[in-house]
Amino acid sequence: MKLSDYKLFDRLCWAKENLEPVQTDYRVVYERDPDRPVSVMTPDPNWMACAMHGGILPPVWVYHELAADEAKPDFKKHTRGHLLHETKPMDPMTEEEAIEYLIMKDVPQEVWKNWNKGNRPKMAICKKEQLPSHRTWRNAWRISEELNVA
Amino acid sequence: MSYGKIRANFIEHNTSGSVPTEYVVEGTVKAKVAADTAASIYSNSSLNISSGVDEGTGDYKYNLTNNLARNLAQEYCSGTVLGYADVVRIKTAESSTSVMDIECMNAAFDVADAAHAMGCWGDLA
Repeated sequence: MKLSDYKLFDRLCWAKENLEPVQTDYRVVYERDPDRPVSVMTPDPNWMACAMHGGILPPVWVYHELAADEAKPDFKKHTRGHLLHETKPMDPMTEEEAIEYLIMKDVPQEVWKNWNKGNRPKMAICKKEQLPSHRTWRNAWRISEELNVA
Repeated sequence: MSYGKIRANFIEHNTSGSVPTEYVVEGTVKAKVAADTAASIYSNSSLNISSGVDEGTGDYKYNLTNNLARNLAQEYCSGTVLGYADVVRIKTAESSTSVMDIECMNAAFDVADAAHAMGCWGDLA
């Protein structure tokens, strides 16, 4: 059997045993609500390994379909989980492609679809070293208004 | 991929009795993570996690790769705060079938940064 013939969770278990984790320096900084501190997203090393290996992760639209199901008022439990397991998995991604996929999967849609609309950017991809080096004033972190979005 | 399957309804031990395999499956952790104060996930510490999100002091969120069937806030989750006399709790407001939303607190129940580890159980989607 091929890797893609197994359910997603089984593929993830296989990857954890067989793939070397990939610690990326990329971080995604985003602002959902101007009254709240910015969020900083860090990709999981095992997930990065899956994305770069290929044949494990479902296409991102699958997650959007499940999120749409979950948003319905009468939602109790998922009944279309088969989409995660049976949809043809993604081909290998580069580190940058994996970050783009992860933004569409894990950053709220209202943020990434409108990241450069409005007075200032709501989202930025940066390197770990570009974040403040200490967390003393963590709740005051904001995305710089001087950020060039061109 | 070499990935054999054993199908059985019960597992029996020589002296300690038997257990239905459905309990073994249900009792297996479905997502787990250990991370530092910035939600940066330690290598080899996670399973079924796609990313960690640092949302402010002591405020963290973990996204799952394989959704659970039901909202995580309705499932059993367990966690520990590493190296501090603190506690960790699941927040219900933003939890979903794919989001584990947590908060770390100190002994006075004030929100505080801390390295932490979490796991959750339940049926997968």
